Amino acid sequence: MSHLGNEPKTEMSDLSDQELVALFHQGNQEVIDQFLQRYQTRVYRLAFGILRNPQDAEEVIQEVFLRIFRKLHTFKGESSFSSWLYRVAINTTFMKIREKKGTEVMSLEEVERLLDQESAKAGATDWARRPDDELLSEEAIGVITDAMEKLPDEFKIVVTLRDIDGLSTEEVGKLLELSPAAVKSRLHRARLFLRKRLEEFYRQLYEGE
Amino acid sequence: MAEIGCDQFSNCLIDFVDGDLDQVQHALVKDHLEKCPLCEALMESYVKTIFILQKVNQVAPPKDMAIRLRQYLQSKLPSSL
Ligand SMILES: [Zn+2]
Repeated sequence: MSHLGNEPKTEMSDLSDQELVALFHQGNQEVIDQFLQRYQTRVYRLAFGILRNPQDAEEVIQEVFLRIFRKLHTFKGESSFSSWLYRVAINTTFMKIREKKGTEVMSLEEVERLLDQESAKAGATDWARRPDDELLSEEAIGVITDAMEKLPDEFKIVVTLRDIDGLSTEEVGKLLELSPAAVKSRLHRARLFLRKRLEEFYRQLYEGE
Repeated sequence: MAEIGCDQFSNCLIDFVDGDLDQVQHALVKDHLEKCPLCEALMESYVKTIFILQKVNQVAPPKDMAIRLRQYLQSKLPSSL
């Protein structure tokens, strides 16, 4: 909205990522705060979704933004700022995992088999029709949190980007260099695995009612 | 009209839930769901799982994280923030 006689003032928050990058190239440092405001929570959730530990997630986000702002002057915009940021965030998060765990041994095939066994269709229970505030008890939250932790990283990352952060299947595929079909397959298995865990919990809880 | 069975249903569950089916396929799935309580329960609990997953994981960053992040960057980046 501009008023007559007034210089129309553009708020930083109205600018696109691309415009912010251009300002940064012109030497404007304020854009850094704008980028932080825009993305810090999302990057935090992404890192936390995989690492499941607030301190590790915070270290990752510091590392991520440091790398981003150190390299922003060379950013040419071949991809969008956000996909560049996500890629850096994913790489940094996986570096953190490696640093913490050493080498992972389970192969993807093994994992897929395990998940398939785990997720075999259980009998019908209609727990899903119960009211949300009843379903979201502290215990249930514990169950899904534990289940998320058990999920192998390749699945965790897909669930986090797709279901928690809300990126599209195509976007997730591009970021992880997977075909849309592979993204869907991992996502589906992960959801079935989590569903199974919840179902076991609720079935026991509501047994005999 | 053709019908689908439980196996076909579970194969397209994810596309159904994520809205990736065309009209004809969508109608076939809906038709199956009306006739099959097992698949209906699976679908409902699948959707609810996604909902719970989202709810539980909308974590807020720790208090003061933003301040610590800014301080960290300030100490590491050459230019003045
Ligand atoms: Zn069925």
